[in-house]
Amino acid sequence: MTISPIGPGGLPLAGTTGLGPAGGTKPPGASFGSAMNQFLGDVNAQQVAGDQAIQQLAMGEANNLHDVMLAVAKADLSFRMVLEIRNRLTEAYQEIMRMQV
Amino acid sequence: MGFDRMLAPTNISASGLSAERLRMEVLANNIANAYSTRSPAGGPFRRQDVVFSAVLNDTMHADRAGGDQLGGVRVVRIQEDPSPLNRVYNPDHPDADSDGFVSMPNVDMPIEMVNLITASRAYEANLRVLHSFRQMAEQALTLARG
Amino acid sequence: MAITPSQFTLLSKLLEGASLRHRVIANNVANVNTPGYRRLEVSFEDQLAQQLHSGRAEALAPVEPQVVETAGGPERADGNNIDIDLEMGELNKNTLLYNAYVQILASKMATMKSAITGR
Repeated sequence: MTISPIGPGGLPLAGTTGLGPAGGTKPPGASFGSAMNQFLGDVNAQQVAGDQAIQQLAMGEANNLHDVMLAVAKADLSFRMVLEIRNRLTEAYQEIMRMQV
Repeated sequence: MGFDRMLAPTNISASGLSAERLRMEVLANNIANAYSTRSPAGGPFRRQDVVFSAVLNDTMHADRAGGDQLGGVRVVRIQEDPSPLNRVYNPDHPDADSDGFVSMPNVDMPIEMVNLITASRAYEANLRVLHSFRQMAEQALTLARG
Repeated sequence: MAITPSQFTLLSKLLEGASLRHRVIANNVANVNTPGYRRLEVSFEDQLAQQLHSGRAEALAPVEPQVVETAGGPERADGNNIDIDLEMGELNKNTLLYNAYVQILASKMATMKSAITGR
């Protein structure tokens, strides 16, 4: 029984494309960073919308109460959503950092 | 008491409740004595009425901005109705005068009944306000929760 | 260090106004049978809206709810101008709004708290 040595050409690793930045061809502007940025922008917009709804309620310009409450709830929810994404991301990062090499 | 400021609406509603209750007691007394021809003061019973007055906690009327002055209502006094007594011809009555007429109390049943309804409705209204305040306070407590 | 959520000042003002209004309504209802009593009300929102239109957050600080006597209005024979139905309607409205303000504030606080703890 012959044992093939580990080295270039020995295992079919060389042909596979790596996960690193060198190999992948990704569309420009679709990085995780920009997605996160967009999320944060959305959350901020929701917060601003919620604040505007409260202001309208205070000025007596709100058409109905549920719109105001919905705007506030949406702001809270979207914030929690983005927070959870960040938490999962940190968790994943830490998991990778703990990985034995 | 230290909580008086915080619980001022309770005190205001409570003043309304007790004032209306007192009014109802006076009305009940009027109805009970509708045929009393004698009274401790001498002569037939006279119908009584309560006199309500709004209360301002501070005598200063000038600055009402804080609402601290609102003190609800108070029964100032219970006064007798000076309107003429009903003269009824009933020579057999022990309190009849020489002409056979008896002076009956000036209690008028329909008036008492209407006042009774007014008092009971006003009592309910005060109770509603009290209940609302309780709801609001319970809501405010949720602010510090969780 | 400002860790209060946005619109906190506005919401506190609104709560202050609603709480005073409840007191005033309680007083009106308690005096529904007091001869010569004039209805009181809280004037607050117009001034608040005016300041809000000016668009500056610090403009809210001087707005204080005021207790004023209601001018005119139909009057009963005993000089009292309280309409108990009107008061009950105002009471319902005020309680509802107060509860809404508290819930909005609670929601904002919760957001803030999760932002601080990161959970």
